[in-house]
Amino acid sequence: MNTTRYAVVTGADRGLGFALTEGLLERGWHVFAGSYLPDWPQLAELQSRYPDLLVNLPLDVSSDSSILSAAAAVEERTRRIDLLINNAGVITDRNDDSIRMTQDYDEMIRLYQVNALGPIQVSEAFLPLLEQGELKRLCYVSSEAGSIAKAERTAWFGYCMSKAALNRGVHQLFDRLRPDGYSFRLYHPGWLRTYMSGTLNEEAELEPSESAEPALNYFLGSTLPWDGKPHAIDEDQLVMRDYQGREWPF
Amino acid sequence: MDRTAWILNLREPFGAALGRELVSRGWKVLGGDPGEQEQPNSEAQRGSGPAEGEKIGENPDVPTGSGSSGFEDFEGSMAFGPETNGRSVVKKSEAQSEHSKGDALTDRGDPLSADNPLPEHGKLKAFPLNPDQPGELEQAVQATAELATHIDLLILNTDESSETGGRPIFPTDAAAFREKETGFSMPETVESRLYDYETYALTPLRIVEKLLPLMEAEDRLKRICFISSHEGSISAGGASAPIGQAMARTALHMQAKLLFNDLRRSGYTFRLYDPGLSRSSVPSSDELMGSIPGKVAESARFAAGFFTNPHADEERLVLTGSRGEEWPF
Repeated sequence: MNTTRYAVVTGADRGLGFALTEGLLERGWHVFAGSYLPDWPQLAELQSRYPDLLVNLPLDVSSDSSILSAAAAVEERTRRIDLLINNAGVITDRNDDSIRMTQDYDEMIRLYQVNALGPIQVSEAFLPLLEQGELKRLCYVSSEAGSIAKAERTAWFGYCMSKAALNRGVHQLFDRLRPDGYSFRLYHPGWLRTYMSGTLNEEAELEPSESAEPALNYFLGSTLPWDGKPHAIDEDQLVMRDYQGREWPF
Repeated sequence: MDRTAWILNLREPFGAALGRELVSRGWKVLGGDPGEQEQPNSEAQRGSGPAEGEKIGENPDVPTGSGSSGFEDFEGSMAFGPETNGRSVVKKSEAQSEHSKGDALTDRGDPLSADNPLPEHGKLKAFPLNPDQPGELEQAVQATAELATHIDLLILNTDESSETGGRPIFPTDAAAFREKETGFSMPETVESRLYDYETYALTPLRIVEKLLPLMEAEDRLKRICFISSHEGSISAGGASAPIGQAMARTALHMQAKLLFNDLRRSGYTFRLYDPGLSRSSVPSSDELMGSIPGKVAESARFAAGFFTNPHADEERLVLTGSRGEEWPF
């Protein structure tokens, strides 16, 4: 069994993606970090701390050519990856626009490209490398905002539609790839103090690191703690779980 | 009371069949369709009585009316007097010949005759509406406002007919049939997936936004109906549909839920309907393929009742199939 493990993380510049990347490095993983913000300093600083484990790559998940370039760059360095974490996501300040207000459809398309299509396109591009990996695990940072059954919002069209669509796309990949040995994680990280909307949200509940820790336990592990005991994750069911391990209905 | 329905993609087979069903039940039906051409003399109403060609919903492959099993069976149906929909008698062979040319749904125009006034329940009008064309939605909304003071029933039919350039929904299409039989599909592109999102999710939202002011009257039905597919069910949609199409339909379901959450407070009611016509719903044997037009008509008939009648529980939004079954989100 090969002890060297390789991961790809999208949206790794800051926030949850950065915390996930840092957590993987601390665990000894080789990480290819998708970077959308070349001028943001955190990943460069992290690279200086883990020069042998971290490779930063330009990656805009809304661009097919960028995705393919990133996959090719990874393939130049390794013949396999074990873990793909689709973390990149955006939100908008037009969330509260009700249907009685003029909607911003260009913004909805942007959210859909990044939040919904991006993770699917990235997954498809990296499948040949994942196929050679041992873990074959696909992880997706989604949101409770993608739960139709639990939806209580009265607007947020672009964001909620993008996350619900993501959940559907992930389920399709699950249906197709699970028979080939792939396993999946779908994660609601909670309300985080991140730059997802472009500026730091200081009102949110959690620091990214507070969500990254349970996320990595979920992404890497085969059990979930429940009632103080570990319970095996049923890999033949796709469920969305939050940072407390709770299941969210679709 | 005059009741008006507005149907997106009114010339698409299911939209057309549904339009006919509603007209037969006394509704005035308006709608937009990318296949509709601008008429030189834009009339508010279609004529009735003898005409040379087919009308909206007159696809001879899509029989309509209770108990009807085919186009000729439909002729003379008491449920649809020949004047009710302004439809001329077209022999099946002629109609099929026209259909084979790919223009079976083309409205050739039929000037309203003073000798043949259109019955109140026979009103039906389609506007050009191609979301890719700037300004067409605004023009369709303006034309709608000129013909109707209000809309009671807004039906967002996101299925597409092959003649309008959209993806065919019928397995009679060779590529779709091959995909269903073999599981092999042509690669999707980002562009095709964005097209799916525009078609199945954004276009309906654009229309709701624009037409909502025409639905606001207090004493009206105020009902919004979404035509979708169980392919958009996250947990039960299966893996056979193109992934971009399935994702976009899920986005539509979320959109329906958000609008439900908001507009329910203002007295709106909602329907979310799977007509059972998607590729994963339709059996692939040649024998059953032949019954697809009948399936369209049957599903449209169910939909007409489902959309116009009250429901026991208007406080839940449910994806309902053409046999009344409930699909999970």
